[in-house]
Amino acid sequence: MTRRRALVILVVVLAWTEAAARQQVFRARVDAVVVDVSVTERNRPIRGLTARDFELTDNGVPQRIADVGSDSLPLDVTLIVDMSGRGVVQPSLVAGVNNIRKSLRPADRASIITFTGTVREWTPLADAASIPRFPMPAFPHEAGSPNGPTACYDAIALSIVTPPTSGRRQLAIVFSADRDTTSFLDARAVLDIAKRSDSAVFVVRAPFDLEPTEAPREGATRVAITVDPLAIQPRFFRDLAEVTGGRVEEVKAFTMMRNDSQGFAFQVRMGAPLGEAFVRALEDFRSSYVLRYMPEGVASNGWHDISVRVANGGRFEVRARSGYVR
Amino acid sequence: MKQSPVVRVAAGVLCLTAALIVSVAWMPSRAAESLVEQAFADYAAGDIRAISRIIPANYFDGVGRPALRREVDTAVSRWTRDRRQIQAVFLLDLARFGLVDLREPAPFPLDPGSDPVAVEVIAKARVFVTGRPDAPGRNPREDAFEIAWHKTAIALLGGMQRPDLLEKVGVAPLRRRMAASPPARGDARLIDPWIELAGAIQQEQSTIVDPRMLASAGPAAVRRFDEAARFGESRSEALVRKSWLCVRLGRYAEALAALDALGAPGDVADEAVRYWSRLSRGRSLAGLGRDDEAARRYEEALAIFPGAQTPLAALTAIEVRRGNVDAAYRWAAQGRAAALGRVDPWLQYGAGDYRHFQRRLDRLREAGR
Repeated sequence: MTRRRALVILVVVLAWTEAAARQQVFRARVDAVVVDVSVTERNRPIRGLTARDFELTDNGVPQRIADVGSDSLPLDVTLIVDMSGRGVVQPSLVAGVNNIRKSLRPADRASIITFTGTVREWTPLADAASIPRFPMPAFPHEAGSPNGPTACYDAIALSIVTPPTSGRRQLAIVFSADRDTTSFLDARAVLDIAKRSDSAVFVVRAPFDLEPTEAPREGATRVAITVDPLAIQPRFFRDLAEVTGGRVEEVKAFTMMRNDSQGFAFQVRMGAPLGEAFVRALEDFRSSYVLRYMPEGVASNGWHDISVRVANGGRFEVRARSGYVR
Repeated sequence: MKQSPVVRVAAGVLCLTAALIVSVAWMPSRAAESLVEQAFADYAAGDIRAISRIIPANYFDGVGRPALRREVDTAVSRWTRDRRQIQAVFLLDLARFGLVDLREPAPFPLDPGSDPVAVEVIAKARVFVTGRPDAPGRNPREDAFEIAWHKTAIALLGGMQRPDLLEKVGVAPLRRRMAASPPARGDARLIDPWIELAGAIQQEQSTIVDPRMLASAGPAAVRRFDEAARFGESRSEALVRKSWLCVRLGRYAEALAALDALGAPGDVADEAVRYWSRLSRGRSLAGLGRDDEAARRYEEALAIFPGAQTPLAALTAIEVRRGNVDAAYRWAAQGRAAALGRVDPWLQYGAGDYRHFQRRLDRLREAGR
């Protein structure tokens, strides 16, 4: 082999190594794997656990946990808020977003992204103190269609693909009250992104009960829907939360009563406020453990299934992301 | 027989009282009728906002709807005796107010583009339009107006995203009135190949509004787009919509073949359709695992509508999948900050012909006057 040919091979190998390394990196920590783990009993967080209390497998291979962090790490919180369709919940929704602002610690950061058919970064990632109060928005009239479009999948994809910052934990809270009508991406594409993301995704949904016909009341809010959104997307949200270690909370924010036979007109009865659900998601994530380990005995590339349990913690509910991609 | 003065006075009082009762009983409805007709007179004179004056303040509560329904019925029955094209345009514009414009002042509007009276008005107006004295084919000017009216009405119904009503009030009755090409025998019809595309779009919309319908109704809709693609005027949009439907059905090779049949991208005059074709081609290629080519098609879509979020979301997803992390971050950041300044035509895809509605209505108003 000539020296020139050897040099060419070396260059090709180096270039391939560089490209391969770049392809594997979507999560921030290439070598160490960091997993947020929530341990609760009857919805109350269990505190005081140490590395020895956890059993973690990576693709079925038991791993040694290097260290366990707690809630001291600052958070980067992304609120992804559906402002389309179910405008009826907007006052409660605005209160919920502002509740989150109050619950942030000084070192935390947050961004607020709203969406209808269009995604809008209302405020980019900023320190807790500098996030402005979220205002009551005007109804988002989009001239593209008389029925408000909703692009939930596209909004989530654009919102959770952000460069992670070392030493900070990533949390996304999605509020959704409507079905997706206009996204270009589908559920599978978003789940694929979520698997490769560092963010834990919590979902607050406001499904509604549809009650039988009731006579119109004077002054009642007139609303109309086409298809029960509950029938279409709950599976996606469950999967999204599961792959990222988040969870779904459903809030009965309102009840709809049909008052015509064609499915045009409904009346609304307001229910539980949404605000507490946002704060619960934040506190749930903050109280979770941060497990760090160096994968051993597993392939370096591809999807890795993660399983976490607490030794002798049969009564505890343990929640963590279902895996990661390297 | 001679009557006494007392009887004559009593009879006179009785007549006056009866006349008074009758006039009082008439007053409210006459006043209501005149409100619609007065608004129409102003509208016909060029004041298109005149319609807002006849929408009762309590309309959204459902309380004002019956009154408006009665007023419209009365006006239509009178106009039938003195038919003018502008009356049909007025009724469509009135429906537009119910379906679109009135939603903005509502306190908590919720998918508010659906109003039963507005749909009834379209149905009544269609009967009014088709009840013209001469049959289709006899008067080209009347035919042209009627075709333009139907296309505008279906554009409005498409925007409601209620495919059931689009079929019932729009497409189904029109199939009996319009054909894509002259029939060999039978009744004279209005002729416009667009009717095939309208029918296919209605069927496609049923799968968009309720994705559970995709498996059952999707293949039939694909065949209908094939039918629509036989006609030059509808060909581009029919092929692009067929390709997207095939993408949603997981038939990626067929989706690509439909787009290949389009010819060169520059051959598609409609900018939105050209944009959709790039997006659909990107998704088809991605479905076949040809991610590099898919990314290039998404970038072409972005070049047609710079700043549009749809191709930015698509590029984000494809770069994540390809492991190009930095590129994915860049596209996502652009997507979050995007400000297109106009409606991303992707948002209009599911609303059928609604993207043509305003232009068609403007032309119709001109034609009606």
